[in-house]
Order: sequence, then structure tokens, then C-alpha cells
Amino acid sequence: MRGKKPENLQFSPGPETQGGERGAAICRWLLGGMYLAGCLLALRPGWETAALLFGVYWAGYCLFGSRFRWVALGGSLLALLLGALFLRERLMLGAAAWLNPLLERLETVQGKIYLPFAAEAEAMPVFYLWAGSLLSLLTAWGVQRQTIPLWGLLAAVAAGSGLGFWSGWAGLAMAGALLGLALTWRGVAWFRGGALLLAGCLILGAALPLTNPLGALGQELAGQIAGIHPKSGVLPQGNLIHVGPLETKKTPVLELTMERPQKLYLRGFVGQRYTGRAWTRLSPEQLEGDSSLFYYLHQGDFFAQTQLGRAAARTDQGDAAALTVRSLQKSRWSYLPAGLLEFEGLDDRVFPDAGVRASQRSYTAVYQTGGLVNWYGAQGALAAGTANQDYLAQESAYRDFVYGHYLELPTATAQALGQMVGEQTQKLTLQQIQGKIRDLLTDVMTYDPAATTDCGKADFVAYTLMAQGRGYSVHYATAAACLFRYFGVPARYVEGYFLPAAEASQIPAGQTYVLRDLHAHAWAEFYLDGVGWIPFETTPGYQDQEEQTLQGLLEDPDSALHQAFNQNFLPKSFSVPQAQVQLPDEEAGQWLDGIRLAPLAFGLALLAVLALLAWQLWRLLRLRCALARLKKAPPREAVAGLYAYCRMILELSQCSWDPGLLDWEQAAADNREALFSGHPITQAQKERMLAFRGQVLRDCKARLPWPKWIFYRWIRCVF
Amino acid sequence: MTGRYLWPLVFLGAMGLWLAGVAQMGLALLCLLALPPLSWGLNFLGRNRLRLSVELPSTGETDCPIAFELRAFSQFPIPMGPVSCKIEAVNELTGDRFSTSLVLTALAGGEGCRAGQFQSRHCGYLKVTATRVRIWDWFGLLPVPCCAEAHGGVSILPESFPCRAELTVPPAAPEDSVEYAPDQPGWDYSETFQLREYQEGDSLRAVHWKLSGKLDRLVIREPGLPVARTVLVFWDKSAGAPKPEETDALAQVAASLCQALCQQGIGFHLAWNENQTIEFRQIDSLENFCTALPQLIRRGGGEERSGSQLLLERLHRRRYGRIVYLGATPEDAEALARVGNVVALACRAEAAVIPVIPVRLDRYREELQRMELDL
Repeated sequence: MRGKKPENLQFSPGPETQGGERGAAICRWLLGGMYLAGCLLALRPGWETAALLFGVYWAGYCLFGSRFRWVALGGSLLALLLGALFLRERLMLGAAAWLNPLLERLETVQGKIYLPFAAEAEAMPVFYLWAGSLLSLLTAWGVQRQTIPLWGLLAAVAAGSGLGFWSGWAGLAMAGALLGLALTWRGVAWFRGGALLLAGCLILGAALPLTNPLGALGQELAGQIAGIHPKSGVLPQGNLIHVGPLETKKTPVLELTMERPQKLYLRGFVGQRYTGRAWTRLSPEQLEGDSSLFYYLHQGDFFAQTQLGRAAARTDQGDAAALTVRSLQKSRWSYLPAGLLEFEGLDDRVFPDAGVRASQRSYTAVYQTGGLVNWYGAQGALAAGTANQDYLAQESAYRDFVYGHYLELPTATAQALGQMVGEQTQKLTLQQIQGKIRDLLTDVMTYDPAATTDCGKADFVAYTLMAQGRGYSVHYATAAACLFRYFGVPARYVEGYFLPAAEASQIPAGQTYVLRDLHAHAWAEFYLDGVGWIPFETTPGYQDQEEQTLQGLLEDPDSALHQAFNQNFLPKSFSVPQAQVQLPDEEAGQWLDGIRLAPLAFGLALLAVLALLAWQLWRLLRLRCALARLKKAPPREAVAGLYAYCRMILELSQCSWDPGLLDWEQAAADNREALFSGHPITQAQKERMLAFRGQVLRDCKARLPWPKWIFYRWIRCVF
Repeated sequence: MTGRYLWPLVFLGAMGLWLAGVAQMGLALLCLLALPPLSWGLNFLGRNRLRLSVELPSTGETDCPIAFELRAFSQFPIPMGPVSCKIEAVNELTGDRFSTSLVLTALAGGEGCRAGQFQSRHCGYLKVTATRVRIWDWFGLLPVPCCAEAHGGVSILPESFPCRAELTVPPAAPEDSVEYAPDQPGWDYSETFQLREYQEGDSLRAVHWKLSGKLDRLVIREPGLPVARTVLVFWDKSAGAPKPEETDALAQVAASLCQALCQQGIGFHLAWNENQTIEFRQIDSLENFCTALPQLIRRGGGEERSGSQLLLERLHRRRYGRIVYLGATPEDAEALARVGNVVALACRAEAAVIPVIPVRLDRYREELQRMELDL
């Protein structure tokens, strides 16, 4: 509120009205048509149906602007209702068929399986006609009558469309039409608020990323923040932009209770895709179309997280044992052993095969005991077994997925690794590849937990192997996983916790044991055909007797493991792929001095929203100060100012006053006396005006309908 | 203008969407960047087709709302953006000023109207002008100056109060008078008031013998009554550099006094100074005065020369029986003592050689209900 000093000459502006109704009507008609075009882009009917619906819109616009508008509205809604009643089955089928692409989109966005509706496309024309008619009539009514709840609905639909669930063009057309109506349509004070509401919807649409509202952008943003603030955890959660030294603290993180204590790799974060500066999850675009595969696999009780344990169990490699885990720190992941057999936190609707999100702090998992020897041995046993055909069929399908997604390397990484390993002309076995990786890392790398890596725009692996030459588990695991991929073996990067065999042997069965920060570890995993994801340890100091035993068995030509491993059911020799799968070069362009444009856009949009909120808050504080100043002002100024405030409230909220309820005559007389006479104004008159103000506010609150009441509350806060 | 605040928000939103990978937002950004200059350019074509008008009533009252309408007519076929203009209101009598800016819209081939209300504490002539017209683009960002202007005015009449003037009108010598009363006979046979038939008691000197001989009956010629305009009410608007409150009070006093004189049947001359000239009005009836009142309050007095001096120059050798002087201070009234008996009604009643009736701003309406002008 702006307090006004009584002056000799005063002016009170009034509302604006418009003539030229014809021009205004044409303008509104056009903008309404633009909005309807956006709706139809989202609805996607055919051209003929769209033309018919525009005709419905035009007819509705004409009728709703005439004196028969209520009859027309009632009649049209009744017709739609009757249509819905008599054709409800066909409408529902049509709606279901229309929603199926939306479900596919949701699958891509959220990574969850949504079963499509069993509906045929033949039922859609009825649905298009009915829903399109409803949209046409609502648009015509909203454009003609300026109904605020309808405007809110229209703006919400525009925002939802702008979120990309249907079409960016649809959202653009609808938002543009609403904006045009808000800018050009005057005479009603509501549209200041309506225009701001629309602006807020557009900003929200910009703030929420279109492709993955909760996933990728959030991860990237977290990665950017972690990159700016280097130490946000012991391990970098896949973010390799700035890798600081490993700080081995003794902070308790997990409480384990093992039925049979043994060496454990507890998986948490799983990096599926290497970008050169981070390990991330597979993007929705990469997973598009794989939902049906995972639906089939999950229906057959095949989960990538439990594949290794079940493969070992099928071949009687080890025994089942229970493990209870309790998180002592807030964690995003559930830490599960590599040989997982059963875990109730597995969601069969979630189809990526990466880490499992934490849903509770304490959970129990059943895992297959045993280790590397058992897992390697399972491959030959599976091939030899005759009761595993179903499993192998499922595994074959999953293997295709793995080979299709876990061999990607950026061009710069592949070139750097090519320089490191030299030209490879002969095919290599898996064992040979493993040997080469170990030898290379031993030659090139030195274990240094204090190593800090700021590779800038360079590739992390290239920088680590060719420039820095030092690192700890993160560096070794990344390099090993990339080397595997280079040689054509599907591999991934895992972060979690490692319980060494020596430490596990000291734990009594059933006793709770606390893992600490110093147990945090990163390792590479490669995909062993038929068996699953096997941890591959390359970090010095973490290879124990088990690795040595395994190596010995693999190299011994007389050992059953050697024979089975090298004569597997899927004879495979690997060679450096002729053409590495390259990530799009545009990725390089999206990195702007280390800052990703999408988080920047999100930040800008968030800043705009915060600025809007701050402006409103500032106005609220200014109003409060002005009202407090009025209360303390001399009676003459207080009476005039309070009266002006009451008139302003009523004018802006368009609330008609009841002469019987409010003593306007007295208040107006007091105001005139305060403004124009030289008589002293008494404290009693000031008190009377204060009471009058209270009456006005109570009266407005009691008699305004709820949409106007919301606007009235906004006025009370900021004017 | 909402668009001025909305455009950057929408631009930020569209930029954010575009950076996030929505290619369509490039078109939106292009439109947001192109539309303001495009509509701004169109405004150059349409600015000569915009007309403004200010509508006010002819008269108003003090302390009462006076309806005001500003209309904009556009003959341009393409919609223009908001039209902003500066509204200046000046009370030409008291010098009160007010200015504000208004925004309205005139759609293509149509008109827009912005209403409002003025309220003035003081009487006078309120002149309202709409100037500095700017036509903005569709988003309210870029202005185009427009030469359209509009003027209007309203006379805010003073509020008179009931009063009675205690005034004895001195007679004037017949040879000095050139006017005769239209409604009653007198004693001056050089002017005929009316002809009528002889009634018992009439003087034989009044018989019109020539006409009586023709009509064969006695006809009486009644003599006229010479009328002496011996009262002058003079309002010196520039005396003492009056404040607006004083001018307003003097206007009310002048209006009330004149109204009282009319009601009492006393004819008088009403004079005031404005723009270095003297305006004279002959007031015989209340209707005359109501006609003269809007002109009385039309303008202020000017500052260069004293109103009394101007009046003396205008009167030349003429004399009045009674001069009622109204002014902020009575000092200039002393000069008028040469042409008549002066009584002053002044707001600041300093020591003077002429009788002064004070006009106290806080209670003149009560104190002057009975004006003793025969001082």
C-alpha cells in the first residue's frame, strides 16, 4: 500500500474499459484457436477430426458470447455427459489406447515398467471426438468468459504439456496463447495474477527437465555440486571431475550381521556409462525399448542383481546365507553382496540393472556363499547342466543387452588406451585380457591414496594412465573397466564397501560387525557369459589369497577350472573392436568450462522463482511497515490513510459492500473531515477508522467466493 | 504494464527450456526477441492515427468527486500496445497542481477508456491536459512518442454560505445617471417609465396632453427612476500573494456576498483582475451572477501589477458609493479610497486606515453570515 498525504488536488484512477469490441473479439478468437491447436497437438487426432473440432470451438465461441450462453453451455455439457454415459466403453478403450504412448514415455523417463493397456486403435476416433469437443468448449468458454478456475486449469494443462509428456510444440502453442490473452485482455484485474501464474507455470516447465524429471539431471546437478565442492563423500559416486585424496576415517557406516562371515563385495553405486569425466547410469534414451526385455526377465524371476548368486546356486557353488545390513549413515543405495540370491527390496518394475536405491535403513539379504573360484567354476557347470536351459535362454537375452550397452567408450578414451596397449592383431582370451590389464596397471600406476586428480577437460582415464600415474581404488577401477571395454569385454564401475577375508575370519557367526569409512572401495566388474557380473580386483593391497588361488587354477592346464573356463559353452575370443562405439561429439560442446548447461538452466529458472518469491516477501514486509506506521501516525493522517486503504482493498478485490453492514457514511465523513477541513481530528475518530478497517477486512473475507478470496489474500499480503 | 515484468520471466523460462534441449523453444525465443521491435516499428505507422480526448463535466463542487474519462481512439488496423500519457491537472485560480501517468489500451479500430475521479479542496477552474503520449510495443518495453494531446476543464464552483450584507446604498445625482430602473417609476420626466390612464390623484403635470387629445381620454406619463450603481465588489486576486486556501476562502466569500446582494435586490458592479486586466460585470439579478461566477473563478490574478492600480486606471474618474474590496491583504485597498468608501474583507487583517473585516480561514463561514459593510 502506498500511503497518500492529503493534497488539495487528488486523483483516483478507475478501471480501464475497452471499446472496439469487434477487434477485441477477433483477437480473443484467434488466441483461443491457438490454444486449441496446442491441445490438439497433444491429443493427436486426425486432420478431419481436428477440423471438426475447430468448428465446435468456433460455434461455442459464438454461442458463449451471446445471451444464450448458459443454455448453450448447459446443452453442450449435457450432450457430452450423455455421450460419456452411452459410449463409455468405447471412450475408455479410446482413452486407454491414447494413453499407451504416454506409458511408453513414462517408462523411458522413470525407468519403470508400465504395462500397456489392451486397447485397439479403432476405438480412438470416438475418444478424440469426445475429448476434443470438451477441450474446444472449455477453451471457447474460458476465452469468452474469463473464468479464473478455468484459466487455472488451462494454465496447468499448458504447463503439463510443456513438461514434455505430450509435445513441446503443444505446450509452446498453449502457453503462447495464454500469454497473449493475459497481455491483451484488460479490464479485469485478475489477469495480472493470471499472467504471473502463467509465467510461474512456464518457469516450472523450464525448471523441471523434460527428459527425466528425477533422474539424470538430478544426478548431474549433484555431480556438478560435488565437482565444485570436492569432498562430499569418501568416494566420488562416479563423479571424476575432481577426485580428492582418499580420507580413511573410522566413521561407522554399516552394521553387518552375517550368518557366515566371509569376504564380501557390497555393491552400492554402479556406473554403467563412462563419459570421460564421470560414471553415470544409462540414459533413458539408451534404455528405450528395453522395458519389455526386463519385463520378460522379471516375470521369469531373472534379476541382474541376483544373477551371479543364482548361477552359483544352480551349480551348487556355495550355500545360501543370510546377511542383515543396517545403515548408520544416510545413504542413497542399498549395499548388497555380489552373490545376492534374494532381496525383497528389488522392484520388478524397475528395469535398469544397476544399483538398488535404498528404501529402508535396515534390510536382510540372502546370498550364496563362495567367491571367485565358485563363480568362475559356475560357468562350466552351467554349460554342462541339462536343467538350465530356461535360465540360459533368459541369460542369453540379458547378455545381448549387456553387450549392447556395456562396451561404450568415448573416442578420447579409446584413443588413449590404444596408445597404451599398442596395436592388437590377434584375438585374446578372457584370461589373456585380464593378464594384460593387470600388467598394464602394475607398470603404469602407483598406488597413492593421497592422489588428487583434476583432469580439467581431459579424459580421466587418459590423464590418470598417461599423465598422473598415481591413484587409488577409484583410478584403478575406472581404468580396469575401460580397459575391459576396450578389449571388447562388457564391464562396469562399482563403488561400495569391501570386507577383506582376513577381517571376516575374525568375526563370529551371527555377531554384528561395523564397517567404517575405511572400508569404502571401488572396483571393476566384468560380465562373465552365463554367470553374471564378477568383481575384478586391480587395486594393490586388495588382492588376497583368493585371487592368487584363482590365477593358479586358471593357469594350471590340468585343473578342471582351467578346462572349463577355456572351453566354455560360448567359445569367445575377444578382439579390439574395429569401431568403438563413440559417444556423440556434441557432449564435448555441452561442457562449458566444467559447467553443464542443463543445470545452469535449472539454476537460472530456480533463481527466477526465488526472485519472484523474494519480491513478494519484500512487498509483504513493506505493507506491514506501512500499516504499522499508519497506526502510529497522527489521527488526521491515520484516518485518511486507513480510509484510502479500505477503498483500495474493495476496489482491487471487486467486493461489493453492504451498506447495512458497514458504516460507510461515517467513515466517509471522517475521511472528508481529515482531508479537507481544518478541524482537529480526534483520537476517537482514529480508533473508529481502525475499527472500520477491521470490519471491511472481515466482511471481505466472509463474503468473497473462494477464487476471489485467494486473490484477495494475495492483495492483503502485497498491496 | 504487466508485459514489462512478464517478458523477462517468460524469456528466462524459454531460455531455460531451450538450454535444456527443447528445440521448439528456439522459435519461442525468436518470437520473444522479434515481437517487441516488430510491434514497436508498427507503432510508428499507427501513431498518427491515434486520438485522445479528455471528458469532464462543465461544473463541479469542492470536495466532491468529479468524473474524468480519458479516451483513446485508434484508427490503425493493427493492434497497438499500451498507450501511456501524462495527466496534468492545474487549478488556474489557486495554482494547485497534480500530475500522474495513466496507461490505457486502444485496440485496432476501436477505443479504450480510462476513467477516474478528481477531487479538489478548492474552487477554481481545473484544467486537465493529457500530454507526453507514448505508444508501447506489445510487451511494454519500447516506446514511440506520439503527438496526440487532449485538453479539458471543469469549473469547480465555490461553496457559498448564507449571509446578509448590512449595506446602505447611497443615492446618486440624477444628472450623473444614464440608467433607469426598468421596473418602477421615479421622478425624472426626461425619461418615460410608462403611459397609463389617468387615475384620481395623479398630478396634472404628468398628463400627456398630446396623446390625450388624440385618444380623447386622459393619459398619464410616468417618469423614470434614475438608477445609481453605487456598489462595487472588487476581488483583488493578486494582493498579498494569496495562498490557495486564502484564494478559496475569498472566492467563497465573494460568491456568498454577491448572492446576498442579489437576494437583497441591490444591483452592483462586480470586478476582478486576471492576467493584468480588469473584468467588469454588471450584476442585476441572481441569474447575472450565476453567469458571471464561472468567469470569476477562471483564473488567478497575475503577479506583475497591483489589482487596485489596474482598477483605478480602468475607473478613470468614476466614483462609487461603496467599494467592497476582497483580497488577501488590505493594503492595496487604501488606494481605492479616492473613488469611494472602501471596506475590505481580508484574510490577513494587518493594520490599515480603512475598515477591515477579517476573513479567518477556520471560521469565516460562521463569522461572515452577517457582514457589516457600512463601516
